[in-house]
Amino acid sequence: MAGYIVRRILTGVLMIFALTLITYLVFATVPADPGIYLTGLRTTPAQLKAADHALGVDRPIYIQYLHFVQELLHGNLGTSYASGTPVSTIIRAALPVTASIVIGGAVLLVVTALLIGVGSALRPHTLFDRTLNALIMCGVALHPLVVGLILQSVFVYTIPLAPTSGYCPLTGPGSCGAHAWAAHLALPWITFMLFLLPLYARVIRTQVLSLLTQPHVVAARAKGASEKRVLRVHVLPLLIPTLATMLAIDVSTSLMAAIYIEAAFALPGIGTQALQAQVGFLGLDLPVIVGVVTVVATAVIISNVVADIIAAKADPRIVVARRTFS
Amino acid sequence: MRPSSRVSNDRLAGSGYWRLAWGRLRRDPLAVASGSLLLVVFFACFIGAPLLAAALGHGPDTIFSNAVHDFRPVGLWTRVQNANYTGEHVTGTTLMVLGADGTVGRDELMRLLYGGQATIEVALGATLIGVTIGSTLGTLAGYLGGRVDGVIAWVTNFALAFPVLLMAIALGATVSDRYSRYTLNGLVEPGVLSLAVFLGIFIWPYPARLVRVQVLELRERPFVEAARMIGSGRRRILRTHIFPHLIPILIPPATVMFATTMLLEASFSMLGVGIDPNTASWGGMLASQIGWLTALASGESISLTSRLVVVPSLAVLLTAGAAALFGEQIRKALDPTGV
Repeated sequence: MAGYIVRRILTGVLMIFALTLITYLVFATVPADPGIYLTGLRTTPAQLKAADHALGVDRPIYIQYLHFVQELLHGNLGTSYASGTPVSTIIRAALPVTASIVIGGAVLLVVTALLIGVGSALRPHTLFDRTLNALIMCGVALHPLVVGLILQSVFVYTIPLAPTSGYCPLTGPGSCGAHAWAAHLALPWITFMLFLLPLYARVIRTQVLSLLTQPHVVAARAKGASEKRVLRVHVLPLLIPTLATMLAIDVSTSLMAAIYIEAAFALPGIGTQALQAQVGFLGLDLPVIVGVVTVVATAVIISNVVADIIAAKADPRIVVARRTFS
Repeated sequence: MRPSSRVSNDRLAGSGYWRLAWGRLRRDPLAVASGSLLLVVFFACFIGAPLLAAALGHGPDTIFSNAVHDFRPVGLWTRVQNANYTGEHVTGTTLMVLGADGTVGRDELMRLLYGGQATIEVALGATLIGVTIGSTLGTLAGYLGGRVDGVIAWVTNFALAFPVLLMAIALGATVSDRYSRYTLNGLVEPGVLSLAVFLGIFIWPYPARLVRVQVLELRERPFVEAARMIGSGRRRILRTHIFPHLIPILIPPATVMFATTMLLEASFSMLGVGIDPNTASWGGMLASQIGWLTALASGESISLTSRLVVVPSLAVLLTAGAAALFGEQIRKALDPTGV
């Protein structure tokens, strides 16, 4: 088990470096001149050249990348071309926002998906089950940006239930308390939940249906266990490894959805930071982008390792079976 | 002529797997409804669009300067006076069934039909590429195991962790212009092929995981063992004994991938990195109205017309929803004992 975890972490670290390398290579093809960030648009070629030299972007891309790796090994993510602030400061400010959206949304997602999935699995092939299934399949066609904007239009302006867009931190300076924090994030959470709900509700329904025919459930029923007890003791705990694996796989998808959700609700998360670093008319703020990529990749890898540990704890056979699969 | 006893002979003859599945699918009202909707959309976009263009005498890019009054496009079912580029009146009128497409003054219906071509081509292309890469790598990983499996698993995890959206934005700025000229000799619209390849490279891990698990299980089945025992080569086993079993498990996820890539096409257009905005596509039509959505969300009074958001949204929603639903019903028809 310990060796398995260590191996997973090592391949994960290798993956972070591969990802950042690809990011550098892709962005090296972009004909942008970061020196403009320092000099402004009205500038002479000589000034631009000096600015490029000051930022270190006149060196070959592999030197820049090695420099980045060296800094990363010391825990530095570099400084933004645009603002000159350290990338770690930018990310430290933005990360709680994105984490609030994704974690809160994931909790809401799991609860809703369990209610719908288990609910329809207990009444299979009834009108309720079929209607829910058809609706959920059509939910695949919903886009988080559109859903977010429509929810906002309805619940902020037409029926004023939620506060206007924006963010207020849960703790620290400028905090406005847990209640206001949750109120500001309620609509983003619902948007997030709706984005992944179709997949999760369906998988849970299928799993519960197949678990209900398993011998141990039949045995429990034969011994006279109530349906409630069967569900609580013999079915629901067995969903944990599946859910953990699915959530881990969907971390990168979630962070992508978070970009749209942040855009829809004007939340200052890491997605917004990355978008600003890319769509600014001056060019690309590579250190911020690579910083976000590093953070996203780290989150994906950590969540995968945690999910594997949970799955292995729940079912010890998995460690043996997965030994070939990294 | 066959003797009349053929009816009873037919009843006695066994039906194949696919024929049974087809029979179940045909009797499933949801499958029939979603399947017909998909067929209608396909025919309308790929056969109806050129026919209608020939009948009406204009295409998706024809500009009608009389279709816009005071920066407001004309509404549903309007006849507009024809005009040339300098705005001089030309004899005759043109019927715009769904009105004009905003301040440019193109026919919304023609853009919807031709836009459907681009969007469906992207979604189909990306799905085909994704399924091909995914099932090939998944089969190799599952069948060969060991080191090959380890490497492919690593690449799969790598692709899953990849921040595609960020790359798309960066590439959209530079590379897409260079690649959008590849159109397979005019078979697809400019920009479609590069976007399909990009999306295909992004979605292959999902089928790869599914296929790998299935192959791991198939590899141990008696018929594969028997084939190996009588000396079949690795290639023959994969082709004739394993591959046919992968088709049924690939169809349902493929339809969901079709729906997802259709939405991604729209997402990319909204970020300005999708198909060239001059080429009609459903995502592009939606993206051109994104200002309307943000105005709506910020409570501003709306000066644009909601029709231009509703038409492409409905097209995407109905087609993607129908595709996903159809795939689900196919899954049920292929595996009636399953849930």
